[in-house]
Amino acid sequence: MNRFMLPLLAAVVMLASSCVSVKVPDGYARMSYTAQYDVKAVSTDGNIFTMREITNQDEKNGSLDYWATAMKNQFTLSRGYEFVQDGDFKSGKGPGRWQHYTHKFKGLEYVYIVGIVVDDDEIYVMEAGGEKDRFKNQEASVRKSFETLK
Amino acid sequence: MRGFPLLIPLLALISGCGMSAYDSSSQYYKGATEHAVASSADADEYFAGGLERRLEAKPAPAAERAAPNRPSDKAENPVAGENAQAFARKIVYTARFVVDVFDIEKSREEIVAWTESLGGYMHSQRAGTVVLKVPAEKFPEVLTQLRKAGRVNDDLTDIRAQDITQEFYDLELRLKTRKEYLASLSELLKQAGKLEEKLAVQREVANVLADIEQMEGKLRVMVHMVAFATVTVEFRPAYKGPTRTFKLPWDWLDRLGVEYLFN
Repeated sequence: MNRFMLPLLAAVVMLASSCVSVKVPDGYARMSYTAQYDVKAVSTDGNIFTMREITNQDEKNGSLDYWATAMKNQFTLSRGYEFVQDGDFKSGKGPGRWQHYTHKFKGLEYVYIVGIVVDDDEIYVMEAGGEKDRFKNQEASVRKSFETLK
Repeated sequence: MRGFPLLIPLLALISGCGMSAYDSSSQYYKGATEHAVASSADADEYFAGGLERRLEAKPAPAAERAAPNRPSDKAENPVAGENAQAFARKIVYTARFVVDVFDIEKSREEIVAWTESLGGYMHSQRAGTVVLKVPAEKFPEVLTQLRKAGRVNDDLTDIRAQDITQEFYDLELRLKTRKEYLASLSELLKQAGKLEEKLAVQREVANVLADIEQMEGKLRVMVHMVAFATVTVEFRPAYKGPTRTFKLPWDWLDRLGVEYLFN
């Protein structure tokens, strides 16, 4: 019995250490079907909040600054997003950077906020967005949710 | 002779009104190009004196004038050889372009300024669409100029050339005929004795004058249409970002954004 306990315990510890959680913004309800995301939630007026872990090998080689800049370049130089502003935040997984964009999608103006946290092993990306009129005044609440990542 | 006081102003009207119509036309067409008129006569000459000279020349049949270089079945072809230059084709050019630009107002101002520098003008403007009158000989340069402003949507480009040669020269001939008729009426009026005869001739003169004015008006419009191409340019906002030539090799970066959140 003792021969199996140690590996079993190690497996449990490993699973526990890779668990990540985030508190969704007020007014959002989690969805059971999350598609490509680890967490997905939607508000009553159709805004979306998500979180996902990026676990590819190469991601371990970049710093927070590197990935935040890469993300900004990809959005603005390749995808036509309009950069608005950015800032830093602290989370349970370490320091993070948030970025605020606007983007025209299907003829409508959208607001898009993305937060990225980089630790030794993983990259955590949290996103939130909605039509400009419906996403009004939600930026602060979304950034607060980013800080709850742990 | 009681009608005599009426005769003087009437004759003055007959002799004066034709010239004044030509004078106002020559002012109106200042700057019209050789393309718009026959042979080497410019617009002033066309309406001030050239027209008279040309109308005195023996006109070719309408078919000959429309295609002066085409062989004719007729034995005589008096015009095709000697006056072929005088019967240039009359083509009306119209075009519509849709151009994607970053600054609609600036692009519109620039194309209007360019048109005006060539002797053209802005005909109308609404939102991002402007209608220009470009001198016909400069028409081929329009597309080049628009490509400098932005991206011309070739699949939405529409260029048309309408040949109004036959209609134009037919109208000229009808006008000449009416003027000759008017001249014969003025002779008749001089010879008319009874008051009833004079009144009848005067009525006919009034009718013919109205016809002449209408035809001259139509001819002015046609000359203008040939002299200036009508170019409609619709400016649309261009996509501000660059094309997707920038891409980092991290696939997950490309799967971020509202396109995926709301897919």
